[in-house]
Amino acid sequence: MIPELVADLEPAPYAAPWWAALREHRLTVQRCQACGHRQHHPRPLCIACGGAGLGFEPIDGTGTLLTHTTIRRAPLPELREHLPYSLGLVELAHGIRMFGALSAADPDALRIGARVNTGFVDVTDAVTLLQFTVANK
Amino acid sequence: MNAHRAPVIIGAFDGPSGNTGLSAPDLYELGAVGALADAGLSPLDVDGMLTSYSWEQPVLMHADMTAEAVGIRPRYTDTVCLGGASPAGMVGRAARAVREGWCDIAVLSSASNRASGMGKQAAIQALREVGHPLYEAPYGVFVPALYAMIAQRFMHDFSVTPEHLAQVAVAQRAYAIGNPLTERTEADRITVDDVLASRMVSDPLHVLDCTLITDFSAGLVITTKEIASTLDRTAVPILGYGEHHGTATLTQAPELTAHGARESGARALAEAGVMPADIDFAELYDSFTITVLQSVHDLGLAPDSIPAFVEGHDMVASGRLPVNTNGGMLSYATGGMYHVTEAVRQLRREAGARQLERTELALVNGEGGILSANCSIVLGAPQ
Repeated sequence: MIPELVADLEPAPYAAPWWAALREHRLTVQRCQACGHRQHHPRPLCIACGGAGLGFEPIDGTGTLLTHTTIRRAPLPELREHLPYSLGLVELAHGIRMFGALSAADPDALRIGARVNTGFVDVTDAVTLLQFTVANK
Repeated sequence: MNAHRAPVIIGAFDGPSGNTGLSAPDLYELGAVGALADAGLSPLDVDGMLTSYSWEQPVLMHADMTAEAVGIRPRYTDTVCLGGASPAGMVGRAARAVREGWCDIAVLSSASNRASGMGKQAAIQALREVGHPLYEAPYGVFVPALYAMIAQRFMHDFSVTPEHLAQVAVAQRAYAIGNPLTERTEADRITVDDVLASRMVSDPLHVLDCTLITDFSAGLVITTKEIASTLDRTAVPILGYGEHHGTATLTQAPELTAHGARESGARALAEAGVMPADIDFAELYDSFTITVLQSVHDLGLAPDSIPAFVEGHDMVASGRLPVNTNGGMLSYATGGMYHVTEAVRQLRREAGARQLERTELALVNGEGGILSANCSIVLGAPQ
């Protein structure tokens, strides 16, 4: 992954705990203390009840691949050397969806419905990103 | 729809497109001036100005700046920033403005010099400004990748193949060859194999599945039916308009294979008092081939399945529901305003050799962001 793409990445204070957990290679989800609603991505208020009391709890990193693509033409010159690379939208527990990089040892295993595991990539010493890995067929 | 001050289109103009070498402000002015000429009006007659935005030369009050340049002193302006849905969104806003009496006659202009001014690489980079800056962009995503992800799921859920997507590009290239404004000839005709052999951008979308990157400029004039009558101009009625903004990013879309055009189309059709089956032809925002098929699905324009819609050749000129009859963004020019001007031209029976047979009702659909902004318009034949 590309350090330049995360160089000015600055989460708001309400989102900082999610990113801090990621740096520690822990996957979490924001949860409303009033109504129990879980939401991703983190927000300043609960989108189910409007409450302001929000915390973070762990979430299991195994999930299902909802959709994916493999990019073959670079959006930026800096990305050319990384082609091709894959992206995925994954559904975890509680219907929580997360977006991230996607890898598969076997390209044929990259299909909708595949089981994925969540990994972490330390892109810089300040920012860690998600990388989902498809289990082999 | 309030019968009093019913909104109508009395001017429609296709300005320069392709690689013009003109500035974005120049192109905006050309769109406005051309629309005024088509309506037989001067800037002094107009009291409303709407524009879309400008990546290339962003200014704070874009519609106001354009009005000043053209010589319009508006009492109503709107700079509409809905991505690709801006032109359709501008039509809806202008329709309401004249209906409410915020202005009597509005000029609309949409333009860009992203091909000659920005260069293709900068245009591609600008596309990265869509997608969540924290939770999507850091992964090297860009608009084609997000639409490719929509395409993958759509194909999976509805048994749509890469060949089905390619058929959209093939049909629209055929329309473009018949459109003198595109300068395309028989030598430019493409086949499904040509589309599938074109360079892959992001699985499953090939270059020929993607919009052209061009300059564009186009304009409209919108007023009330009563004013159109006093001006003795042919009036294309705006019978219905609907809008829906579901989610801005793909990750948050509640359903990956059904998007906001369901709601915006339903609202527009309801206001017009018509059903999808009543629509004679459609001009559907076509950032990608998948956008067309997704919109056909969401708008209820495919009575059976999407594969049946494609395999039945519904969207060609002789088909049940001609779509993107000027070649669209895939084969004419990008932007979204040409969908509206083409609909007006067909409804006025001014399309010459390309004139469709049935032109009583048209559906125009605009899409912005990642199927985020959805603006649907029902237009009717002049009375």
